Amino acid sequence: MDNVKSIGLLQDDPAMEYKKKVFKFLEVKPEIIKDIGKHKRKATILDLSSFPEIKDAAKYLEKFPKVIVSPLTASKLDSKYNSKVYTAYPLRQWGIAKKIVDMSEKNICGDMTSIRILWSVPKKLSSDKKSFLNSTVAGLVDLSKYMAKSQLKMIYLEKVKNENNLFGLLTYRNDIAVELEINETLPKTMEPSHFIKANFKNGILTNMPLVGHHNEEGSLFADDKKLIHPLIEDAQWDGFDEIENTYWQMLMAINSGTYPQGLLDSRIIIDAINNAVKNEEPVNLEC
Amino acid sequence: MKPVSMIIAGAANPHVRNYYNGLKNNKFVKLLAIAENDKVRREYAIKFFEGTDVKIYSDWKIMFDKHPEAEAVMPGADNLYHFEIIKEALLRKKHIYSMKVISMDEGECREIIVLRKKQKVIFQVELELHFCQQYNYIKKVVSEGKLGDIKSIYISNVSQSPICYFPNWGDPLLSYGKDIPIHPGSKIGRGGAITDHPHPFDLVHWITGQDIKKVFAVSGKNQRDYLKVEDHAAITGELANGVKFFINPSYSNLEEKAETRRLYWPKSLEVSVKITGSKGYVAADYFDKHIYVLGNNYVSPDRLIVDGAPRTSYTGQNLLMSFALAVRGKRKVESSAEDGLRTVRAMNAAYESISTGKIVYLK
Repeated sequence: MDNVKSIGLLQDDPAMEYKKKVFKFLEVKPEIIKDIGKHKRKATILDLSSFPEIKDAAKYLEKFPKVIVSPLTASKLDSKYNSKVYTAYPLRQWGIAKKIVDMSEKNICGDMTSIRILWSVPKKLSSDKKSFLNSTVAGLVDLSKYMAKSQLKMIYLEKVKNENNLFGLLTYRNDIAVELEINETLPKTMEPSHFIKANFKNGILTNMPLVGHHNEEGSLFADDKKLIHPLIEDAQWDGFDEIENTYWQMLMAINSGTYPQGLLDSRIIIDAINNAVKNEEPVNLEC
Repeated sequence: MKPVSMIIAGAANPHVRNYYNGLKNNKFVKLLAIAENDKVRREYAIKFFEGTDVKIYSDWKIMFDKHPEAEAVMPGADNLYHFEIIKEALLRKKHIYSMKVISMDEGECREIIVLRKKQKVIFQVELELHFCQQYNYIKKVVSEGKLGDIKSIYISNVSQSPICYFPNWGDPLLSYGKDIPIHPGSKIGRGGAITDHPHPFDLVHWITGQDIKKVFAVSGKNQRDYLKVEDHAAITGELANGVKFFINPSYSNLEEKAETRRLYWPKSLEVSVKITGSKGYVAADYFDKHIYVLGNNYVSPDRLIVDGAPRTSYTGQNLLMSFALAVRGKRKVESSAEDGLRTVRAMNAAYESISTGKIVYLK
């Protein structure tokens, strides 16, 4: 990176390994801090964003010109630190959100009217309870604000007790409504899904698949042991393979008289196939 | 089984036409007549049933008098007229197959329920998603405990708006029965997305067996400036057993402003049901057995659209079949008038919450 050559990290940073990997990728030197009081600073930025809350942030802010902090830490800081702080809302860099903002600014779809955000994560990847509310949910609220380009007017949350699972409704001063579906309690067999659908007066922008779940056919059933995409022909039939089901559907068609009787050109078909394979030549059936 | 003879009072509801094809040769229901006072809708029916013995009238009262032999009535007029038609039909001891809501007025719903019981006839509310196998599967999975304790349920019923080809649906009075602003002072009235989409409010109860206890709802600004009723709503809340729910019944899938149905957003309908439990998760959408269609001779010509590929079910019944079987005493009615009232109460609670900005509790 051109401007940021090194970033400070506290030695007990919870995401140390990941950040070292990132810094290596971005060609940034990590500056590991053992004792902030005795530390001889070289980096201009200190990253405290992985700490859900830093209670004595002031001592870090006095030492470093710029500090990246979590939303919860930022919420407790005096406004005098405004110019020294980056609040970690990395979802503002999410491609689909950036595209929505860009196209909104270019008036591609007219005025924005509502936004749906789906954030679904299996429990194996869920955050702790404090981070869920103060980083994940806060981050998605900020994301909606970033896309709505207005000030928050109202927020209402229905949260499942003791679980990282909630529904939210927000409104903004420009009358944009936002729907949140945030669920980090899904079975271990599932993978995360993150979708946004932005509705406008003259269009829609979204990364939500048009059909199915993750663009696959069928419903979805998952528990901690398996994940299947059952295609339900009959809720009372315990068989979900669309192709396999065509057997009993054929019997039903025979029963109802809608299945054609006869050999159905089987000899022609079978002979043609076998000849084609044997001779590796086109099999001409016209004469 | 002798087919149930039926007359249709009004074709203002877009669903009524969906029945025409199936009613031409139906072994469970024999259509005798249709009454429709709108010239365009009446001529559509005349043309459709040309060459058959289905009679077409312009006045449903005359039709009622001319067909005392009819066993059942399908009230398909605008919601504003439902109560009058249904009441008269019940007084004549007709079974009722009601298009969606009985009425958005809960008092009228209650009066109908009392009269139905007195007349001892069958009353089925058209809540057709009960007959989709994927939602039946979800109901089964929940009832068998395969998800463990249910924690949350999300249901969307997002569609295009029908008002370009059924303009009556954009009139708050015809649709909701009264002209009530969606927010105080708003020019947008009740009667749009929520009124047109009772299904998610019904499915919540149908799948879980639980009533809605509390509701909080918002309605964002309309995507369609010309629409006089709401096209967006989002509702969340809690069921009687503490399960959290979310419903989106909006008209968010845009359509072209044309006199026939012509989609912009390729998917006309999203009915996504997602249930999280302590042991598992299940989800299904309406078009989960789908086909992409691009054709110049199809609904929405020359537009890529998502449509459904046919399902073949052995045990499944269709709507009219289930109604006829209930009339003949061979099964219980699928969605009763009481189910209809429960749904209307939840919808009205959503409207009230939108209007007041407060949580609404249902007793």
